[in-house]
Amino acid sequence: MGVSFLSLGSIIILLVNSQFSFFISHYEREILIFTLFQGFLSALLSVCLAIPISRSIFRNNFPGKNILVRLMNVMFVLPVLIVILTVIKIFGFNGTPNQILDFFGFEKISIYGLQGILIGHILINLPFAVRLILSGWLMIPSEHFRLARQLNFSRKEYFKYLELPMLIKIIPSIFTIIFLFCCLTFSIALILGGGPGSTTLELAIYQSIIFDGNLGVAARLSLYQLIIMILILIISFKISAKPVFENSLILKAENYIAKNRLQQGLDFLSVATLAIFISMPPIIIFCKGIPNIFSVETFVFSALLNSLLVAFLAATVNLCISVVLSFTIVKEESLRKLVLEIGTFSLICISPLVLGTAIFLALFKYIDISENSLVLTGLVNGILTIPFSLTILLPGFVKITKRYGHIMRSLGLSNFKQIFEIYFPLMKFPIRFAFALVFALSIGDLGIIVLFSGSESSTLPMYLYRLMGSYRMDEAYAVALLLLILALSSFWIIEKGFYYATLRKKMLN
Amino acid sequence: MKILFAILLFTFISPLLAEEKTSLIVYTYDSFNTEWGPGPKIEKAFEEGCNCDLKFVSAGDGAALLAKIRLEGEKTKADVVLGLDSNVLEEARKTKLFLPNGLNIELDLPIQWKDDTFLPFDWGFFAFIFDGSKTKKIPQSFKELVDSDIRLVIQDPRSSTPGLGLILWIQKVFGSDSKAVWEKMSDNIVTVTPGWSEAYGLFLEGEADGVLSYTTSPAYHIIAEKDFSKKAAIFKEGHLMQIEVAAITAKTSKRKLAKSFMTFLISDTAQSIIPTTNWMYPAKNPKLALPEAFDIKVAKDKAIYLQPKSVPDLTSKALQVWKLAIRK
Repeated sequence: MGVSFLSLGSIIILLVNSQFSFFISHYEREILIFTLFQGFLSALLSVCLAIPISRSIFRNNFPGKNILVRLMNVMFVLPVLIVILTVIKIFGFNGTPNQILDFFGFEKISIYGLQGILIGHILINLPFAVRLILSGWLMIPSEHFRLARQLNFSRKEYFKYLELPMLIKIIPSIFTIIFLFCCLTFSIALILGGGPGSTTLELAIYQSIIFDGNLGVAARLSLYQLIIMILILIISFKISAKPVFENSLILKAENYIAKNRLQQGLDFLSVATLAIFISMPPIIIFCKGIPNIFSVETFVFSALLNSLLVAFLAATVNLCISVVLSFTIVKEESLRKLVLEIGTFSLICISPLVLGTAIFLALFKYIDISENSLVLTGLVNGILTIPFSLTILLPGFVKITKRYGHIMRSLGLSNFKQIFEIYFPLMKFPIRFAFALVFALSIGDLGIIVLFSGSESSTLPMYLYRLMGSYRMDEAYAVALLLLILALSSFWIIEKGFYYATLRKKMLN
Repeated sequence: MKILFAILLFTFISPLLAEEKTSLIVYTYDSFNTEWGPGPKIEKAFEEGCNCDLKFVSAGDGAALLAKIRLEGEKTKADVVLGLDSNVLEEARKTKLFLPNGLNIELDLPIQWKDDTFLPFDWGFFAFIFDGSKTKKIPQSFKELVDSDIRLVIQDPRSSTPGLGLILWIQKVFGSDSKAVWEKMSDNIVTVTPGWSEAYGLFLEGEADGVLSYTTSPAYHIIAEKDFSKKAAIFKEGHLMQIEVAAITAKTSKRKLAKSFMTFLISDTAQSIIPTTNWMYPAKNPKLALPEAFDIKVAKDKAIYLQPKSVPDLTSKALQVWKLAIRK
């Protein structure tokens, strides 16, 4: 249960190691406001764009639909730095749009500024949002669509009775997750924002911990951040259900409302835009990585192995904790349940650097951090991804408890037996999906925790950053390509397993 | 699954099986201890003569290195810290975690080095790097630079050592005029990055004409890639030095071994490894002449060095100016 209080706990650890004051300076207030502002706008735009796009994907069958949906996971696991470089490659000074403008004698448009931040954040988050909303669309029972057709619903009625209730249920939490993500990075905002005017809180936290050695400032900033974000979390919890990562997407278009030519065209346009949008970074990485793939030295294999180890450890730790947590949360009463849930979900509200520093401070006296850096990275990654796996597991746990809770109690099954003999077999697929997600996220390393880097062992993302830090840009692209292949294939393998599993189940029914 | 588990188990057990030798723990920054950096070569060369186990522990970049020491404080496991930058020397001294090294070594720096605790092992000049094949008229001074329409990418002084170097450099050269210089430079700056890697990456991608780096950067392209196009702009106003130093920690129980490592660091062996792996000038010129790419083009009297004591004040002043002048 300790996990639920980890975010607050880490701030407290920083507090006791520093002089603390609640006073927030003018400068800090300014960047706090900017952080929230750009996060809000990025999340809003991502969600607004994702609604029509996911709807177009949902109601059309087209070749490559499966591939498109799977590619959407990729942006999420790429190191931020690579995403930034591809954004600049496309929209930057020498990007295609600017070259076209230049060709026709127009002034080139600069990407740097709020527009740059938004493009960067949308590129990362739009696929994620589309994917989640798509599963929302698939949650609408097909009977409803059939009924609506029989009742001859107009387009407006369709939206009002079928789609709107679903959207209201899932949009707030998707918005919140994206908002939190956009507030907790600093490279995208700073680089694509073009200068110090685009400073987010995370940069100030980095500055205070790494440059000034002033933990008090870091604690204060992340405390304010945590309070604001938990408020937002509570609000979104209140108005919506948790988002559902559908474990398998059965990609079949329901016979939807009749479409006219214009709508058909719009659907095509939005799907095509998304397809181009999300395939650009992989294509760029592929083109730049392939020529250098053989110049990568053999050290990369030890990094590769380390990454797999870290990811495996993270996924295992994550599942052990999230299964127990889900089991406990579904049994708890309302207030304690809310505290547990909010506490756990607040793990994605806290600066990774603050959490990393706190863990470092708590542990370095007892264990050799650098000797155990891989294990620690695995553990931290596993813990930080708990909110993601919880969103996958909780709905299933709730369902099972509702259905079998009474029987289990009257049979007097022990907790252990309940978990292993009832929940586990029934939750096999969501659990495997959660495992895959955490595994892939962990291969991409959730932002490197600088203080943990070890003596000789590096993971693939760390290896990539080291290459970039020593002039070796070309090799870095090759490693990025490896990372991409690894993340994609781990998702692919497991999702394919799911696809067949659901297919089998469907056939049996 | 079972194989993975076995590997996992092995990683836990293997350290226990290793033979115990006296080990010397040296904290350094990440890029020093990469497979292609100086770390492994120096480790091998030193271990040949010491009957010990030299262990490099990396900690992010130069700034994170100091942060790690600061967090660990008295409890640090480091015997030697290698790679602190002269512009944060005062901060490092304030931790009181380092003791005088008791060494008396003649160095070949453009300035007199008088510190008894921190020992330089390499150094460089901050400079803007250009691609000579694209930028025909490389600026010869800050004045020319800010008056041109050259596109630059720089690093954020709040999160990067070179970024901090640049604001100190400008503050030192222009004093009270620095605000005007920054205001004029503001429209040259394409963007600001959190670290050196992002900035240099953007420059290599052609997003900017120039990038803040070191005068030694072209040497990498010449020697490792046979690319002669990258040029360091040599400025009339002079260049700020960055000196990288090593120091023995106060808590070490292996003072003698630590001292012999420090001496080794300045030896001919180590000093001829460092330039072509760390891409900085050697603190003591090795007997065998370095490749031509390492010729120092900044005149001795144009070398700017900041007295460590003056740096904290200058930093807060420069940071204030920078924040106000760059309105982006």
